[in-house]
Parts: sequence; structure tokens; C-alpha cells
Amino acid sequence: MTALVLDRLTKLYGDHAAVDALSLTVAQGEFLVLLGPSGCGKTTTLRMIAGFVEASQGSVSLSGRDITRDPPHRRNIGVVFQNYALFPHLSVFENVAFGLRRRKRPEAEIRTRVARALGLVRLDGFADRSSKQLSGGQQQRVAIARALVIEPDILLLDEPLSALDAKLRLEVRQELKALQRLLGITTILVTHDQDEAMSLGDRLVVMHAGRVEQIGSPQQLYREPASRFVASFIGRGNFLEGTGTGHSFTTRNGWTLAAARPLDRAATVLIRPESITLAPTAGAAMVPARVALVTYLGPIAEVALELAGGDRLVVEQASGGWLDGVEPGREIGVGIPPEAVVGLGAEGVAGA
Amino acid sequence: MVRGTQLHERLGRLAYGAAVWAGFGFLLLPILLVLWLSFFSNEILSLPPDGYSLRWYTSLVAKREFVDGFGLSLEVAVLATAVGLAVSLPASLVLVRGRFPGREALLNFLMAPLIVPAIVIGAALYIFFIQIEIATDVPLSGSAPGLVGAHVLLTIPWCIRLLTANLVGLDPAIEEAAASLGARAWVVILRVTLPLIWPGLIAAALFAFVVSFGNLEISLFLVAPGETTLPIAILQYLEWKADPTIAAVSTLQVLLIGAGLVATDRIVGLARVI
Repeated sequence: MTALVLDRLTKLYGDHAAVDALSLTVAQGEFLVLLGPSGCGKTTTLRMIAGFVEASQGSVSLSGRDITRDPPHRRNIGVVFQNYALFPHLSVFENVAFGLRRRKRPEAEIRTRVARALGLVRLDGFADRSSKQLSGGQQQRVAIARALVIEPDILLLDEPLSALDAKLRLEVRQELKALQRLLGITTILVTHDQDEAMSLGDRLVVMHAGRVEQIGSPQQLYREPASRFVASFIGRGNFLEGTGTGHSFTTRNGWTLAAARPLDRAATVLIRPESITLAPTAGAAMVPARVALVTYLGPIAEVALELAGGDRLVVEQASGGWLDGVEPGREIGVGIPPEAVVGLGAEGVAGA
Repeated sequence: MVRGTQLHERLGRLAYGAAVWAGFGFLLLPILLVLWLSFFSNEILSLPPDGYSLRWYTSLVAKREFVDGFGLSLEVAVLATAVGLAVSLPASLVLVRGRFPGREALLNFLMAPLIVPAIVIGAALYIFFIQIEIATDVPLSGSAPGLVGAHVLLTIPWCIRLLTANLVGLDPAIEEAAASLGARAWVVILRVTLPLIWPGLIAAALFAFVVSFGNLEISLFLVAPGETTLPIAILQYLEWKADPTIAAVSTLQVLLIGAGLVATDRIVGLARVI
């Protein structure tokens, strides 16, 4: 079932389109992530859904009703902000109860529902605290409880984890995912952090300059990026320019690679660093390459290579074994599996 | 920070300290002098005093012009503060949250009473009120609404300055959170914005009260015949007598406003909101 429909949603600031005719459908219970660099329009999109920013053109429909011109207080949308935005003058209990009080629920019901919401975010016993006495992670949990307690039609999360330190971020991220699954609530999260996006989203929307660059599952975006922008924004990659003919691709430096799929329209190929195989010496189906640098990163090692023709590759391999003893300058063997060669079109269009 | 012990560094610090204390002295000495004078027993102010007495304070109760002046000043200041705040709060909300052409111009316009000399405002309003009276028969000059209205003008810049400063420091996301949870615009203001900027509100009220209470120039033009505010009463008294009565009145006024400042500071921490 469809929960949210954005139809050619546009926000103009003067002549500049912060969001340019964005169309999107979100299914009931789906966890959708809007991902992109700052200024790509993801936050403006979220704020138009919440009603904080008025759409210049297009429409927003939530659960079948057009809410484009509804003020925020009539939308029944839960919002969690980057910097928590708790009411500092109210207790944890009153923060969470705020939405229920606006809905004029009876006192007894408010008590039960607030207690249940605080239980969901593991903050039982914190009801009487002042919000200023809480840690960042606890404040963000209160903010989540406050947004959930009103049983919103959709939950909007605006970079909710970016104000937390790295370790806490992982913890709250997992809790958020579990909570979303448990409640089955339709959720849209905005982030510029690809790890966050990949780990949380059922579907990711990569945005660039106010437009959708690609929509897909984390796996699709990683394996079959539609453009060089998506390929470089999600994960890391080696980009080689050249010309494709049939199932082969020849780089500008004259290195010919075999590809699993036809690459006739491709001007660039993407090869993910972990999909490349290395061997101590060049053997069958391998080309020789000179090691430029080995960076040890614990479980993996990052190897920078230079090929005879001048092409450069960055390879990620499990560390240990023969790789640990490799010094820069040494010649080793490089193999590119044909399925690892992903074609990208000249104008950012996926090559076949 | 390590401050150094070479001769020129020590001398520099000494000069700086001396300048600071000289500044303090320049500001505080006149007030201390007035305080001292108010206890002289002499009829005519002269140094050294003949002796000390509290009679200038006790005799104040019997001087109608001061008691009435104090009453009128208090009334005008309280009303002007209330109206000033009521006008400035919505204006500040619009100025801080709104983005519209002419926003800067509007802010400067509302600040204008701070720039135009009060005596000019007083004279201008007097002429304006007379013109209105001639045109419509509504007597504004010498009326209570006229006087209070003029004082409201004085309070607005202070209220706007303090309220906008506090609103700028308030994260708009907090108000947005309230709206998304179902609060209408006026509920957001009542339940979230006002409780969060009340230190600024209290400070604005205090400053508005002080500028209105101490104003002489505007009141001079606009009081009704026979009525006086406290500053006018002081001026008129000084025209024919120079005994320590004035020092006693001034001391009481300083104490009253000082008490207000201390109380406000205790409640909201003035350093935090100004």
C-alpha cells in the first residue's frame, strides 16, 4: 500500500530550484533514505513533507489525502531533528506528552502512552528528569519517543544521528532500525552518510542538485550505479576512462578489460576496490602491476597499483598472508573478474 | 595565559588597570556623591557638611509634588512597559522569523526613537497632537493616553532589541517540533516560544520601565497642566531651591531601579540575556 506520494514536488528560491520536480512513492512500512551531499535538496524535500517549507509546485499526498497546503499541525507527521529540538523548559514526560496534550487526550491515556513510548526507547524511569540532564543519545531517544507517541502516518528523520559521537551513532542506528521494524512505521531519513543510508534504508534515493539521481536498494546502488555521481558517492571505486566495444573495454592507456555485460555506450567503467584479485606473481588471466603504496587498515589492506600502460588502481584485500610482506616497487599480478567491470555512460547514463 | 614579567609588560598592565578604575570612578562617583549629599543637614548645599540628618527623607512624604509625581511616573511607566511589550513581541517574532523585503528598514524604523533626541520627539509629538486636536477635537496633548503613547515610543527600541536578541538564540527547530506535534501557531508561541524567551521578556520590561520612569524631555511637553511626573517635579523644585531634598529623591530613585536590576539579575541572570 502507498503511504506517501510526492508528485513533481518543486521548491524555487528565486530562479534556483532547490528541489526540481521530484516524484517519489513510498510504500506503507518502508524505510526510505534520502541521500546526497549538502545542498542537494534532501533536507528541503523533507521539510516540504513536514510542512515547514511551502512547495512552489507539485504536491504531497499522505495516506491518500493531499496535504500540500496543510500547515504542519494538521499533518500528523512525526519529525526528529538533528539537534534533538527538545523543549528545554519541560520534563521528559511533558516533552513526550506534548503531542497528546495538543490532541486533548484524557490524562490517564496520556500517562499510559507516554510510559509505553519511553519504554520503547529504553528510557523507563526518566520521565521526571529535565531534558537538560540527559546525554545526547538519551535526548535523541526522547525526541524519537516524542515523535512516535502521536502515532504519526509517517516518521521523518533529519540527520538524526549526526550530532552523536561515532560509537553512540552505531548504537542508536541499530535501535532505530529495530524500532522501525517493530512498529512497521513508514519512515524517511535524510543523511549525507552513505554507511548510515546503506545500513538503514530499504530503498535509497540518491539526490544531486535538486534531482533524483537514482532510486534503488543499497545492493542495486552499489552494484549497478546509474551514474558516476552515484558510483562515487556510494562506496569507493576505480574509474577508468576509455571506449567499450561489445564485451570488452579499452582504457585510454590501452589496457583491454573483459566485461560480463556489453559496454558499447560506456565511456567510463567502475571497478570496486574489493572486487579485484591480487596474486604474488602475474599468472594466467592476470596482468603485472607495480605496487605504489600499501596501507594497513587492520582487517583489510589498501594497495595502490600502477599498471604498465599508466592506469592506476586501488585494491582492497583481506590483510595477512603474502600481502603483509609486500613493499612498494614490487611487481605483483592483478586480475579483474569480468562481472566486476561496470559500465557508466558518458552523460551519467548507465551503459547497457 | 602567561602574562610576562618584563618592566614594560608590568607597566602596561598597571596602566590598563588604572584606566579601568578611573572609568568606574567616573561612572560611580556622582551617584555616591548624591547619596552622601542627601544626608547633609545644611539647607544650602555646601562642603563640608554642617552635620548629618534624615530630615530630607522624612519631609518628602509631606511634599505633594514628589508623591504625586512619583505616582504618575509609576503609572505611566507601568502602562508604557505593558503596551511596549505587547507591541514589540509580535514585531520581534516577525523581524526574527520572517524573510521579507523591507525587513531591515522596519527594524531601523522601530529603533529610531533611540537615535532621535528625546526633546525633538517631545516637541514633534506636541505639535502633532495639537494638529490632531484642531482637526478632530480629540484632546491628545495633556491627556493620559497621549503621555503613555509617547512613552511607548521610548520603550519599543529596548523591547525589540532584547526580544530579538533572545529570539535569535532560540533554535527554530524547537518551534517546528511543536508545530509538527499538533500545536497551532499561537499555541507554539504560548507554550514554547514565550516560556523559552521569558528572561528576555523580563529584561525588556525592566529596561522599558527604567527609560520611561526616568524620562523628562518627552513628559515636559505632554503632561496635563498642573500634573507632573517625578523628573519634572525634580526639575521644577531645582528651579527655586537647591537643598538636599533632590539628593534624597534621586537616592530613592536609584535604589528603586537598582533593586529592580538586582531582582531581575537574580531571576533571569541579566548578563545572559543582554
